[in-house]
Amino acid sequence: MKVLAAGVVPLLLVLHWKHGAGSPLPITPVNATCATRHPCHSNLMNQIRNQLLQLNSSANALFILYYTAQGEPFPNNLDKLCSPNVTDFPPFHANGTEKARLVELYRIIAYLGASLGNITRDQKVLNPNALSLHSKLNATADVMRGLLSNVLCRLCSKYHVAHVDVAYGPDTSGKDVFQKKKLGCQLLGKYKQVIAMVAQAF
Amino acid sequence: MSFAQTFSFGESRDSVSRFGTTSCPARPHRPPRSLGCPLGPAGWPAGAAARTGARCPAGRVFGFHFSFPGLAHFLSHRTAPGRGVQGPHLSRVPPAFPVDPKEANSCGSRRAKRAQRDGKLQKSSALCPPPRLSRNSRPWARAPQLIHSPGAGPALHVHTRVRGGLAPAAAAPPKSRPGSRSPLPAGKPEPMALFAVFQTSFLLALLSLRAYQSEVLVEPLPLTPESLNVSIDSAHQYLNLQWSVHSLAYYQELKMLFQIQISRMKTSNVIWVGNYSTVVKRDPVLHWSWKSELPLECATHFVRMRSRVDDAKIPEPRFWSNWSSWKEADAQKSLGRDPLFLFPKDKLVEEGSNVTICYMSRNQQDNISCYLEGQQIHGEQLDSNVSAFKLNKVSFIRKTGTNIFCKVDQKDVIKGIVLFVSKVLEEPKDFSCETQDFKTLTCTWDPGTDTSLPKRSSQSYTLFESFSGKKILCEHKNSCNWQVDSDSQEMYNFTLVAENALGNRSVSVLFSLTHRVHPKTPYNLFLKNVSGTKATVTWKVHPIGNYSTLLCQLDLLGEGNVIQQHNVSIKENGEYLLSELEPDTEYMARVRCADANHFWKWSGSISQKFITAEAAPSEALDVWRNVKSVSGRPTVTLFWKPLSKLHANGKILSYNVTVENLDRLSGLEVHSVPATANGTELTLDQDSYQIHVTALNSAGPSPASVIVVSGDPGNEEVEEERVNGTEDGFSVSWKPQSGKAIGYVVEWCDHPQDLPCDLQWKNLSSNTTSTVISSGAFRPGVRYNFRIYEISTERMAYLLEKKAGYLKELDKSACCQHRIDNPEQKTFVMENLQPESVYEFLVTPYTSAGSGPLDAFTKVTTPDEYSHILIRIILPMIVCVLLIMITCYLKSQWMKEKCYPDIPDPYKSNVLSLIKSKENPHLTIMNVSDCVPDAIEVIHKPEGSKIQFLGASKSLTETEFTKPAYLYLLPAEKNYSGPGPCICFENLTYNEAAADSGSCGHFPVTPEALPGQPGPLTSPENLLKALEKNYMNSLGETAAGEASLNYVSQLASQMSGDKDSLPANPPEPVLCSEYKMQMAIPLGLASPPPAENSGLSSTTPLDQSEHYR
Repeated sequence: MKVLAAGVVPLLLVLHWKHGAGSPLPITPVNATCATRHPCHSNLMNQIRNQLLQLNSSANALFILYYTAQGEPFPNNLDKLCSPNVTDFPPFHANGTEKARLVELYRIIAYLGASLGNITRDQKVLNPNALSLHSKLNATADVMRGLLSNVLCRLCSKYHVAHVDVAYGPDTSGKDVFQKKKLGCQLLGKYKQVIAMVAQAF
Repeated sequence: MSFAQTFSFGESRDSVSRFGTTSCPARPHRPPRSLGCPLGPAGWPAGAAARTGARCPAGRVFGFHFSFPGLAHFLSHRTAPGRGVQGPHLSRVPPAFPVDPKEANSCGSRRAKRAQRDGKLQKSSALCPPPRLSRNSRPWARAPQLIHSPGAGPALHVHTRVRGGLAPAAAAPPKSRPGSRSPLPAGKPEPMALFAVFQTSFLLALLSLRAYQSEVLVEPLPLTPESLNVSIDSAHQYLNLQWSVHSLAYYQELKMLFQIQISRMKTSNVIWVGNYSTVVKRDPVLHWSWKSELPLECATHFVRMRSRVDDAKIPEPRFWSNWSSWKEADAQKSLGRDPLFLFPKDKLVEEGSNVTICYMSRNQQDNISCYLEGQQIHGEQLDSNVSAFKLNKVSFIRKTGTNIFCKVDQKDVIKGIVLFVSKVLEEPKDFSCETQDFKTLTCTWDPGTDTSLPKRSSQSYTLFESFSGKKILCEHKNSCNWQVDSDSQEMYNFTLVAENALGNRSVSVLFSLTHRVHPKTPYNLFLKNVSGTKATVTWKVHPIGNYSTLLCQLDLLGEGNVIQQHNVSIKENGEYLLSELEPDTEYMARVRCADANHFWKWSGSISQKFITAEAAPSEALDVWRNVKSVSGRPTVTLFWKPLSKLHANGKILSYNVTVENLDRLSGLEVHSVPATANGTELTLDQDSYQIHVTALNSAGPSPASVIVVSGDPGNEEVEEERVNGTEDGFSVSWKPQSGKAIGYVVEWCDHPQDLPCDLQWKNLSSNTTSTVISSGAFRPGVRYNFRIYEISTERMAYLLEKKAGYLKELDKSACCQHRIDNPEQKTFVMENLQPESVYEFLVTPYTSAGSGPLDAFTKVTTPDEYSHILIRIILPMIVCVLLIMITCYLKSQWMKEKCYPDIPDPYKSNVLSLIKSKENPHLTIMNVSDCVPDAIEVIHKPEGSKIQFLGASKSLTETEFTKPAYLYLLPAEKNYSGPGPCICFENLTYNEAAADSGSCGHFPVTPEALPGQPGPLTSPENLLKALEKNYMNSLGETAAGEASLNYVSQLASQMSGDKDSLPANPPEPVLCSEYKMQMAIPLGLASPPPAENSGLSSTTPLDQSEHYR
């Protein structure tokens, strides 16, 4: 008995001892591919659609406001200065699966958000008195941030997509002023074109 | 913004002065003096030889040129014959062979090294191959030689050529080294050689002696700039030059002058030449920049330079070095392959400056147009694909810049730039500094226009003090605080520098700190011991320093004006007694201070209001009386004038009237009259009374005003005299009677027509016998009565004289005066005026003291008596008519139906049904084409015969009475019996459809004939069907129009004398020569004729043969 008490019990204890029994538990489950800080809204897709419609409804006004604020020759040479030929713009395929469309939408909104940031920064310097333009740019950026969050939530919750590679447009900080104006105009022209297509696809 | 009409290829010299170079034009080009590169003499120390020979570029012979031709030839056998010795001071030794400088340098370098290694003098001929001729080299253009003559020494000239330093060619005595090769040519006689050696040795010794005595024996040679490097600063359009000058051998520093040439597009196109002077130190790397007006991207630039020693240590003459090779600055290589470029980008210029813009096209065939603010600008073509635009005196347009763009026609290419034009940076204005406490100096200024632009902040301000050498960056645009050191720096010399990206402006001020004291605003200003005439003012000031005294200015203001001003010197606490104040008066005390020793500025002011205490009224009331008898008892009405503010000394609370009977002892009777009253009434008896009137305020009563009245009114039977009014009033005079008068009183009424009449009086002294009575209340055309009283010593008033008169007598157009008692009333209606008359009005205010001044009359013409009546009638009429017109317009359809309804169309009558039922094949419809106008039928209408073919019962005889007369328009056969030409008369009012078609399809219809007679409109089947349809529709219309008259268009038969041809039934239509007469037929008798619209009649032509069957 003494032997049992002296040898077996410690052996059993050792056998049942688990590694890390005294360490804190991990917060995130190991098998989770992504985690969102807050639970996604139940009607998330509808919200995304509404945000896209909101962006689409204001895109043209933003475009007009922008090129008007830049002065001549922009308003009268939109085809030459504001044509939406942005080379590295993320593609969008309207006939893809919802997951693919959401991923592409995420890339587009991320691209646009960064570009809008550049435009807003430039315009605050170049046209400090164009307050309505600044306001519109900020409002658009705000909606884009919300949309990006919603898309990420949807991707994460439904498709367990935790990471999407995104690309951003060129930084305009080193460009000359006219080039900044032109790049901004092209981007907003592209935005107006793309957001209409995307809003229709959703 | 103005555009340049011309373009200058040259560059401004302003950019040169910016860098400290001289702006003098380039020195006239002359061939630099070239010296041969001398060889070291035989036996020359290796070091010296190396320094000289090694630095000698090929083609330049180092050598010593002596005055002795033989020796010179001996030592410098490579010198060109006849040119080895030139003049007493300067020898020009042309190079034997123009060579390539690189080769020469390498040769010289190799030679020097070898010489050093061998330790013996190297002969150029032995060490270097004969220099190769360079195709471009010019003998006179070789590197210039700086030759120094050591003054009035022996005629010995040492020519050295040292690159990069001073060559002590003769500094060291020449030594012969054993083993050195003899420079003597072979084959010379020995004695001659000895002589030559001796001579040489002697001269060299002399030379060494001279060199020892002289500080500088061998002078520096020109130092050609080396390693010239040109870089481009596109943003600022600078060409940055960097070069070096070889180390100076014997001088720590040397002042040098560099001449720089800049070419554009090709080296021969020199656009700028300038000098740059600087002090060169050992192993220097020199920098210099040149600003181009043309953007550097639009053209390749070339730079070269040469140098010259320009130091006082080196006596003249001095010579330019060789030009360096051209260096190219090309910014186009890095532009890429875009079809069009526009420069400069984001250019920032100051308003009023000139800007050059250029574009560069890759394709010469492109047609490019450029625009500025919507207007095309035109430039000048610099090259086949480069054009430039010069904008002169650009003006500020907007802070966000101006887009300038160029576009290639018929291509989707637009390139643009943004030009930022800044406001001119102004010099700070009103710059001054001051202190309030000797601890902080506050400098303020007016910054002027803000020059900020996008990405460019506004101008900044820096404050620099030269005595202390301190500098601070000001945080505000218009002020800066400078901390005063505790060591009490007395003098300050401030320089305020305003600076932005384009330049700076500065302004300075020199002052002593103690002269710039601006005290703080005093505080704690109080009034104490305020009486009726005096008050004490106290205040405090912030101390400034220990020994400073402040001068404070105390102002006493009354009603906004400065009444008194006092200066008080104080240290910290101020006090002053104000006197000579008026009682019961509001004043304001105001204090400000300044430095007593050195006035700079007043401090801010502090003020305080106060009111002095009341005092008893200072003057007796002006009292007058009016005695009248009421019910047999004398009644005295006392009047007095209110005391002026000056004499009241406070608020009058009441008036005291004391009545004393002079005839009997009855005690005093005191009446208190409220302050609002200006008089009182006393009922007395026939005794004499002395009346005292005083005014009371809170401080006491005024002096009494005494008047004596008696029940006896005295002599009222005084003859009234006439007095004439003038512009100034009434001039009244009187004759003294008793001679004991203490004064006189003239009494009158301002408004004699009113009750009360507003009694007025005027006190006059005893020695006065005339006065002018003036009053604003006097009106022309009003009679004024004046009474002159004499005041006796008993203060009794006796009537002296009476006078009456008019200020101005008026004619019949005299006025009427209306008194408006309500001061608030601003309108007054004058009634009972005559129409079409001219009236003049004048309104003037009045008070108890009288009326105000008279202004000009306002002329008013009353309107016609009936004009307003007309307006009252015409306007409503116009409105009514308009309403009726509008109503008619809106209800036009209704009006039409009620007033002039449509004439029923005869063709839509019930007869159609009869036609249909009979189906008379003989009915014919006249076609318009049947009508050939030939005659006008004039109907002679005898009296009693009104209607033709009205009824079938009428006989032919009757018909004959109505025989129409015919006027043939066209010749017609007499016996014409066929359907001849006819004339249609239409009344378009009644049948538009028919009128449109020109149809003459109207037929006379008799009420009796219609039901049983086959109508004239017998037509083919299809027509009848159509007609039936229309007729059936028209039946209802006809029924609806039963109440009205129907107008029937009728046809007049041709009646051309062929009466027999008439049908038995008179109404038989004859489809020719139609005459349409509108007749009023009672509805009961008339049936709508089978009318048809024009379309039917025109689209269904009938054969003429059918007309008469």
